[in-house]
Amino acid sequence: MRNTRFHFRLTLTATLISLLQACSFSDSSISISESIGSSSESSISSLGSSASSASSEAAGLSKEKKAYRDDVANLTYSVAGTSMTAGDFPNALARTAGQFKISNWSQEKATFFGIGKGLKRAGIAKENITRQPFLANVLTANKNALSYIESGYSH
Amino acid sequence: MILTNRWRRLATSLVLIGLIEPPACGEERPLGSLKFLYIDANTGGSSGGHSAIKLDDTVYHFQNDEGYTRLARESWQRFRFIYNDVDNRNIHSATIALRTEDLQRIRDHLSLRFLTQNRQVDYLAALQRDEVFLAAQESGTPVDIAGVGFFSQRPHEADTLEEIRVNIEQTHSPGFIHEERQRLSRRLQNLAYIPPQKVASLRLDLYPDYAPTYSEQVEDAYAHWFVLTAIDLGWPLQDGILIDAGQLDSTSSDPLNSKPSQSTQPNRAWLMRYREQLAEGIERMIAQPYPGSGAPLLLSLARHQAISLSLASGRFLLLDVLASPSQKNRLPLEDEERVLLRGLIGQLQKKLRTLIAEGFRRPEPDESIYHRLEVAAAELKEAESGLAQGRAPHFIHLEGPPKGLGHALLPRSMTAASVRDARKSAAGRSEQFLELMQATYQYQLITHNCVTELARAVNSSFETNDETQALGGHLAPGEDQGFIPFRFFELVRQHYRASGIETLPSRRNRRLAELNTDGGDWAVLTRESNTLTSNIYRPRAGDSAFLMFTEHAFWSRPLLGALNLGYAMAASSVGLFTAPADEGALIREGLFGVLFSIPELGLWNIRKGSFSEMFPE
Repeated sequence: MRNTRFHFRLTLTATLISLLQACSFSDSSISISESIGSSSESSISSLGSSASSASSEAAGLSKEKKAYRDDVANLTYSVAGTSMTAGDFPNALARTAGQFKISNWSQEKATFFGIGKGLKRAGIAKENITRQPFLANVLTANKNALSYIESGYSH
Repeated sequence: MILTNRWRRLATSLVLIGLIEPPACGEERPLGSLKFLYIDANTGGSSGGHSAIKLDDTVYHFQNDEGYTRLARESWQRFRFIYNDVDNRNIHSATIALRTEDLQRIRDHLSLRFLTQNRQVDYLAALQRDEVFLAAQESGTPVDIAGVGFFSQRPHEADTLEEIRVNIEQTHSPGFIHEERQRLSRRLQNLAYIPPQKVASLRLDLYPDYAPTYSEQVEDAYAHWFVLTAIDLGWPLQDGILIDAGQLDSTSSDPLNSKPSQSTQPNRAWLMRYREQLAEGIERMIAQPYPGSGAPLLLSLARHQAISLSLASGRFLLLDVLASPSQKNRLPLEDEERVLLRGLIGQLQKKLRTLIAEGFRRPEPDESIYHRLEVAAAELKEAESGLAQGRAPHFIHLEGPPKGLGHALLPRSMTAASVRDARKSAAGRSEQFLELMQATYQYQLITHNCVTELARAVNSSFETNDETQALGGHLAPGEDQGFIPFRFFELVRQHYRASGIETLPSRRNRRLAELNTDGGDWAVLTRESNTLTSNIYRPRAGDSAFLMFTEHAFWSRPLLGALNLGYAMAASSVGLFTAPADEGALIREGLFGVLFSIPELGLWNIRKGSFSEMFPE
């Protein structure tokens, strides 16, 4: 019985799948998405961290900022050791930050925590952080950049 | 006429859904879980069913986007809302037991693929924008540039920028701003199109490093010139772009006419610190520009002005970050909808108050907090405008930070002949890159679809092909009919280390269960079995014309399908007469009704109905 039903479904689906639009988002999602975002943003109690030191802040990021930090870490891991220049890396950071509706990446500690995390994953020694050419502009973008990066590296 | 009403309801309810917390579904797992999801078929997108993977609260899935498969990432909340609530599909999940490091490997791999592909998509968009900018050069028409729309080019009407101007001149040298404006103006006059280097291949998991395209260079140069000119000449914000969210001072009355309360008042010190951050960022981006810094620079300057005006006026003024609704969305409100809208406004006011109270309690300024305040204020304004004007309010989705698009007439920097050649070249470059995207991320119904790509993405998370050890088995993409979403889910259950299978019922099924708790209320079941008498479901454009729900029937499905077929054919026939009034909408619904009734004749259900109204359950 179960097999019969399955083969029915399989055959019909295979036929229909060619007629129907597959794997695409419904139109409704386009219009409602902002509302969903708003709904999820109705509370900001978990947005920030009240911890004071860089190292404890790296550990105490909100869920949303952690997701951003992890994206920055993966970006950094990917570009470390490539030909990316000091001028282009901020552009890559800005694009990543934009996914989280952040326009000013240099004011976000999570950016630097993520860079530290990504450098560690890429096998860059901690003492060589300041020698990475692609980081030259990032290190001057925030007066605490290096300490935040080192914190993200150590955490 | 029927369809008109439906669309009106849709437009109205788009607002309502934003304020309603999705119902608790009781199936959340602690952090660290990985689930394969199978989403039932329905009309509309993914009508053959859909597959996704859920990592903690994040869902990854593949979509067909202009002929290539695109990796999408959503929050679980949004994904569930769209597919489970609005699209009314059951979501089945299989939880896979994984070691923490294996889970992290999949998470990192998907994140990097997502970032990489997004950069490639952005690059394609920039190449296509090259053509647009060159066409504007040729015709002498303006182009849209982000951030420019925040400002009005009226000189000496904004003295709030004076401090920034003085700081910049002190940091650099007297006359720096004027010289920079001249330099950027010359750059815009001389910026010629140089064809970008052809990209030979695309990597899936290596973030690419593309040089700025012609349009990106123009955008940046124009934005920087615009910012410096705005600072130099004191250009104010555009009229009507600020939303007054009430009194700023804690001693004055509450912004939303409720009782005065210290906790619901914005904090001047917080705003002043955030303004300092913005000024610092503006000065840094001017001193050390990077590709793509133009739009963030303009947004920072606009926010800086909004805060300065707030502090000076004692009113909490925020940028209106939602674009005005187009004329086609200005649909009139019915009485019933006015009542709902008033309720919505009450909820929005509460939401804004909560955001203000929580946000300004934070010790450090945060852009995310400020942006949420902007969105909340804009939502409230739009809802109130809708009620006042008797029209359905409309929200739009913001991708990324507020855009502030505005027109810019660019100086002619190329000869007519060179522009013509450049347009041809730009078209060739964007076409070549699109073809490369389509070849790299090809979409094919059987071999490269949302299911096969999901399997490939998971498998490729493991460099040494050790996914068998990690997941408990190996699934080759597409093999054993695994290209079909529900079949793939069965294979996951059979071959992976699945520790739990759950089903999250669709919205209609949840409502049915609530109404029919003992399972034997035939009056309820009969009423809800068809679209004419159902209290839960209201016919909606896009669902196709149908009469009977067939999701829960099996042996009677062909009979019900025949009824649906007849109903759909009748609707199409009527549509012939209503076509002049509804532009063929009823004919389309009828024809789709016929299409989705055919599988029902063969015992297979696709259509389940969907919802646009998301009133509280």
